[in-house]
Amino acid sequence: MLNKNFSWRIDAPLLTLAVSVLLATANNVKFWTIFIQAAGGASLDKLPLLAGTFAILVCSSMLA
Amino acid sequence: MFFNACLTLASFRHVAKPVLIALLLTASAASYFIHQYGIVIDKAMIQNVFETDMREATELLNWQMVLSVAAFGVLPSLLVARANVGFPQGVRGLASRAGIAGASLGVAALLLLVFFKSLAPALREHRELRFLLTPTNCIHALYGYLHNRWGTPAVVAPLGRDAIKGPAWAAHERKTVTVIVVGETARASNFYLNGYARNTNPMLSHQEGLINFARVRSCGTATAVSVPCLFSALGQDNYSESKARFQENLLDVLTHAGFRVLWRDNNSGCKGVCARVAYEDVSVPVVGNPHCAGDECYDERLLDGLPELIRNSKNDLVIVLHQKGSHGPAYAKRYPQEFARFGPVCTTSEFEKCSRESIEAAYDNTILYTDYFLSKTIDLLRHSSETDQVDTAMLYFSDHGESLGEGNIYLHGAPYMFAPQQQIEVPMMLWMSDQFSTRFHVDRTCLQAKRQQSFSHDNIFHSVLGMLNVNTTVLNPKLDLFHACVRGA
Repeated sequence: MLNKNFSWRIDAPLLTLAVSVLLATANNVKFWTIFIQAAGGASLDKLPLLAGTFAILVCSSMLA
Repeated sequence: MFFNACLTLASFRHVAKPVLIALLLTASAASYFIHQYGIVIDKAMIQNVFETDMREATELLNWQMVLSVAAFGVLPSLLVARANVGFPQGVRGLASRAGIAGASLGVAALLLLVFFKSLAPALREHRELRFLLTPTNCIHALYGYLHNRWGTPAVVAPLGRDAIKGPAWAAHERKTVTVIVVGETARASNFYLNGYARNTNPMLSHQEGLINFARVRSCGTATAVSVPCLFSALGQDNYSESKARFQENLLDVLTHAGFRVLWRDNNSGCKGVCARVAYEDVSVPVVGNPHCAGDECYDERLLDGLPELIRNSKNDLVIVLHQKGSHGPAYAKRYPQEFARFGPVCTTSEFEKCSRESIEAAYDNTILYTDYFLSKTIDLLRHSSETDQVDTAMLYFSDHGESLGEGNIYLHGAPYMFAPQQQIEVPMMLWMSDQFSTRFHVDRTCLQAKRQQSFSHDNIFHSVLGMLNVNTTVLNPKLDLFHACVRGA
């Protein structure tokens, strides 16, 4: 939570997870654009593959 | 693997924040360049980053980059910096870390198994993906660069120590001056001499005796790769940065044969190639020099004092002129105003503010200026040949090409295996004074007949030695494009 000195409390694993999610999304727009094309497009039946790949990226960086 | 290792460090108290912040800032900057210019991050790109100069680097900085890094790098970093992070302590902490790591590994492995059938072909067909995944790409590339840079002994292996001037040198009193112009970022397809619609070569197309080779491929897609590669005897297949750095090159072999070698640079340095020969940096602006404007100098400055240098030299000379050429993204900075013939031009490095046509127009003006620069070099050498009793020749080639928005890719530096043709097809041309070709028994008609043959940077090392009739065991006649065109001495 945020206090008046703009300091907030978070557990290390959760912080790592948050950074991993940010890295895997906002900083990888081009990667996802190409990957979605390579996987055959952004259709509903590809959703499990795309979600799975996202989870692999985040989980592998969570090995810490 | 390296990304995971970094985040492993992040789970300990005193390194967590610095590591996470470094990753966020690096990833945000890399992501901006990947998205904005269509580049990928590999070892060669990291080498470019470390070996570029301040002027080149500042051309890439703009407000959009600052905003992008601020939003996706600085802002999250501030949040991380201000966080009061709780680290699990003691045995419970170790168990917690092990549990999270085990669970993550398990989930990742399970998902990989489930989706492998779909993932494998996608990743195999689009190998560039591994260079796009940030920040893993940066960490892999940085490791590869550092391993190359410091992972090998600093002993330079000799090369061509047996080099001597051949029979064509006997009974000739006239000196020779050979100018090798190393172009920058010039792509073959934008040369009028190679069939481009715009007349970007109004002067060279009227240069008598010029031989233009239309099909030449570069060794790499970046200066830091191509320049050491083409001056080495390794060839593209055997080239690595560490091998080239620790082995003598063409300039050393020419020195062994008795030539005086000078490297003049208007770029960001010679990438180690000129380590053992004379070097002049003319890229730093001098107040009052007519060829300098703002914070840089135009390529014409490479010719300052050259007639006097040629006239006063007591040795046979080989002079390498390293151009700034067509280096982007600030193409409009590469030429004086009188060469702004095509337009309107893009005058910013923020390509999203420019149309493709205006980017290409600015680029074409750089080729027009290179046309003028090369033509002036030839005129200078022709004049020296007539008035100073010197036999002269000029060989020009570019280090690599450039993408100008084809497939939404800009600039250069793409991994070679899937680089667009525009980044690897480069111009190459040769001019020799009449006395030079007579002296070395070069059959110009034979060379002219090779104009449409395929060559590459692999030919440069051997062809320069062949052209200058240097005898050495390291000369491979099969790669010497003069070999079949030199008539019996």
